Amino acid sequence: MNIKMKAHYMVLVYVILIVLAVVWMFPLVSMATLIVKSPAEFNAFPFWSLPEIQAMPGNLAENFRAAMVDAEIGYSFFNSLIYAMIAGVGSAFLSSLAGFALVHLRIRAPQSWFMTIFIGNMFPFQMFLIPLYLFLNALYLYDTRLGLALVYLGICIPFALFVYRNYAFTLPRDFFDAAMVDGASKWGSFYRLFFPMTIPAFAVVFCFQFMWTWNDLLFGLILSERYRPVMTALMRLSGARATVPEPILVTGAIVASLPTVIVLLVMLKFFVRGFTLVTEK
Amino acid sequence: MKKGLVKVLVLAGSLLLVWTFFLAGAGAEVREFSLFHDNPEFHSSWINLGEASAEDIGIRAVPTDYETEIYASRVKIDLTTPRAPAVFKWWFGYRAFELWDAGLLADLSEVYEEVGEYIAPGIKEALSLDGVPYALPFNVGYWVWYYSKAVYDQYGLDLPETWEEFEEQMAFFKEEGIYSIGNTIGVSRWTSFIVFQEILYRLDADFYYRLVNGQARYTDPTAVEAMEIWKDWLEKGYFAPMDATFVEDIPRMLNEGSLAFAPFGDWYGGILQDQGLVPDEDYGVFIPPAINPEGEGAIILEISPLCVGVNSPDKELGKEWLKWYASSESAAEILWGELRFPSTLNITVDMIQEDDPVLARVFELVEDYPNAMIRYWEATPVEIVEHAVDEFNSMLVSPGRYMEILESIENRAKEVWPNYGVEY
Amino acid sequence: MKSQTRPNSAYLFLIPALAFVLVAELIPVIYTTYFSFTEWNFITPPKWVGFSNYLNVFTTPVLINSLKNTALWVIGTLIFAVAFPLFIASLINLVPVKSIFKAIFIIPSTFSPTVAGIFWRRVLVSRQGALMPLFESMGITLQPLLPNPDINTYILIGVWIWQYFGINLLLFLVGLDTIPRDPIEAAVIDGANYRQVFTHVTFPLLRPIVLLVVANAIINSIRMFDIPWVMIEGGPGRASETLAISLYRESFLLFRMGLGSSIAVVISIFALLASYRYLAALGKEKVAL
Repeated sequence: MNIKMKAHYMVLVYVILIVLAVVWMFPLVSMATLIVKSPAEFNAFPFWSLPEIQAMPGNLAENFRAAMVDAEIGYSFFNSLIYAMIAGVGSAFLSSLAGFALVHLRIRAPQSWFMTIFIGNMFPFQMFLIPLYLFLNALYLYDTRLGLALVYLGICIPFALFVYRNYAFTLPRDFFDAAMVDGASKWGSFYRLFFPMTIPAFAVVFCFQFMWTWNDLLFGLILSERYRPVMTALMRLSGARATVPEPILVTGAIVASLPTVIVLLVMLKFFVRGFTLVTEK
Repeated sequence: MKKGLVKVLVLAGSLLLVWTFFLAGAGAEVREFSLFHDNPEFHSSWINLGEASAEDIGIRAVPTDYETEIYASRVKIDLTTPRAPAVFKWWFGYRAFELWDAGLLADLSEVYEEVGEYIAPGIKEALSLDGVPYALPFNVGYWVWYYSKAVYDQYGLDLPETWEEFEEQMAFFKEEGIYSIGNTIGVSRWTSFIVFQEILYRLDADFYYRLVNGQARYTDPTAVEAMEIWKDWLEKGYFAPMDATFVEDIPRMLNEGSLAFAPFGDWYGGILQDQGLVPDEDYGVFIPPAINPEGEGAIILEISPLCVGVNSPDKELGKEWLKWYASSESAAEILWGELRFPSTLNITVDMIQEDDPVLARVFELVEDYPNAMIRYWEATPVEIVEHAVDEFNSMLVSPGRYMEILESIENRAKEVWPNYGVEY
Repeated sequence: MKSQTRPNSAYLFLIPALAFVLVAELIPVIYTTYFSFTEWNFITPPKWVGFSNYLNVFTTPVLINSLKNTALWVIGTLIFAVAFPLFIASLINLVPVKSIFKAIFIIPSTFSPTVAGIFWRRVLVSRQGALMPLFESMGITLQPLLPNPDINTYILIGVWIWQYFGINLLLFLVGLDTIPRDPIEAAVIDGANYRQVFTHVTFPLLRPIVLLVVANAIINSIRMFDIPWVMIEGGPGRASETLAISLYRESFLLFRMGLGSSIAVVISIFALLASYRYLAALGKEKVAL
């Protein structure tokens, strides 16, 4: 927007933005000072004192090692990677199938089918917890990686379908009709045409659902024991019984955030596109 | 069509294969059963116990440490199914009564018959309902007050011998900028009942007994008096900052001499030692004096029991394992060597004296306190405790509400007791 | 359209997604609704009790407190994580160094609520916290903030805003970027000032994105669990509980599954009511919002 503002307004604008930015950075700066300290230094000195500059990399490395190995965040990090990959890729793929069918194949009342699936997104997750726990128990899938991965996958589908369906509307229907008249099977036109053409939607869905699954606390808390996802593991380490020293806990928390940071940065382009995708007519 | 069918069959077959592969247990030489507990801090010792028994008797306990927060619900659901744990850690008193009442706990008479001699006298009775023992002890602990040697050495003080001295010392600490009592909210809500319990039974042990058994009311004068003392202490600023945690902050404050006391079960010594405090050098224990003659000779007892799920297909293995657990030297070595739990009589007074003089001191001290009473957490129905604990948390931050709090607990008690067949 | 004699294989494309959603979400919803009419403590079979659980949700003091807290969460989120970022986005659009501010505000959104809670607890606690020393250097001694039941809900909401602000800001910035220039320029030529341009031109053009953000903000705040749980477990006592935490506590810690399920149903009804417009718009074919 090229509206000219008076100079004193601009000063005010800068003041507001800078004050806000300082508040926003405050926790991050304080955590940055924390992770370069050894636990012993953290306990012995005031919060804002810093160790010798040469000692910082060593402390950070040791905190990292302790968080990954001793506190077993590395292990739950790996678990979460499995869950988030399966949920991200799986929900994107299944939704691309369904999205294709809903928009470009002949199905009775596609809108009702869509709403049947999408309504799942409207319930708070707490609604599903107890029955899912009972189901997994009955199927002998409780406390397995597969079980939790399938749950995450299922939870991810409604929103994934929402994105895919919107994207599918942007593709001309005649195109697929023509392909089928030319003798392509439904699967063929999905596999050769629809799926490659909707790669941006795939990326958006993957990005969203990877992040959601990675950040989930609740399902991990109730549905896992040995194969805890990383946020549940962090919650445990910060809880009442935990005695993990604070610099190690915070280092672990930061490492646990790296995948979402990376996914967000690498896919920011798609991510922003994703939002326009879901709001565009 | 036929080809399709074959495909489906092959697919189903391979799925089945994968399934059984995932479900298949380990080799057949060592028999295994599942053991549930909610103490991540003890997990490595549980694994060691399991391995030791595999070596000794060919039965391996495979421990799972649950989220403390969902442990109870998880165990309760499983107990009603064949997935019930063969052995699991639980609480005693009313918390075990629920399960016993629903017929979910196995009768352990047979275990006591064989290895009862390894269990301290009186424990079997404490872990029995209707005269039937339902558990073996994992830990037996008394509730004492830990004190900071740093504080006492700095001022050259002696431990208080009368209630007046005790309160005088706390007033003195306040003047010196030292917190007296390490009982906070932190991130664990359950600890909020401790100070109430500690004051109440020192006022009148019999009243405490009647209160937890539904024969006295929370609005009776003795309970009100306890709350008033507690309120007084809170308002005078005797308590450590409420966001201190009992596993990290309180040990450090005791160590650096900024906090004088922390009232806990004698398992707290293990937590202090984990945080680098040395028994007898950095911390000691004492039992604060009674307030009234009616409070003399009383002490709080806590037992963590190990129970056997009656619906578990491995329950016989569990019982066999418990026999090993109670009688074997190798179990005792782990229980004492790693956890400092004097769970069986294989752990002798000499061992305790040598390794943990403070814990030995606890056992010495409690000899003068013949009236062992159950900890509040287990002594009264769960529904009342849970509500009371929430209310006591709010007491810690708004002590002025103490009458409201008592009335609220009283109302809950009125609702709950009839379900237990107690006229209230 | 020709009538089909063979079963339509198009449904095969739909079935996997449908099956997952049925098993993972729709059937559980039915189960939970059933439990909400029963009394169930895990160890004895569920007992039908009609609407009494629902009555309890709206009459038990601690649950009324959760309802109140949840309302605060929703209102706080709408004001400070939707309206406020919209305002800030319009400010950021005025300055030349956009990307720096954008980066600063988006970083917290890359952390999960759990991690945000862990960070902020360390900032706020009185022993070895980051904030207290700053106040002490100014000669102010603060009482512990998190255990204070009068203010801790507001603090927790603040943490959530810190975490949630950036993503909405980014959305609004994207929205502002995609707005066509012509109507704005026309308005400016007609002599409209900044505020008039914003309320009469920019905002209506941003409407679709605002609606999406509002609907998400309501759903996310109405089921808030992570931050109050990680930071203080809904305490002290039950003072800062949200409905989602009450649900968890009643179900899994106090073993009142029926009551817990009825809280879940109540949350769902609120969420559905609040996002009704969003749903209604979706009901129209091909309208993406």
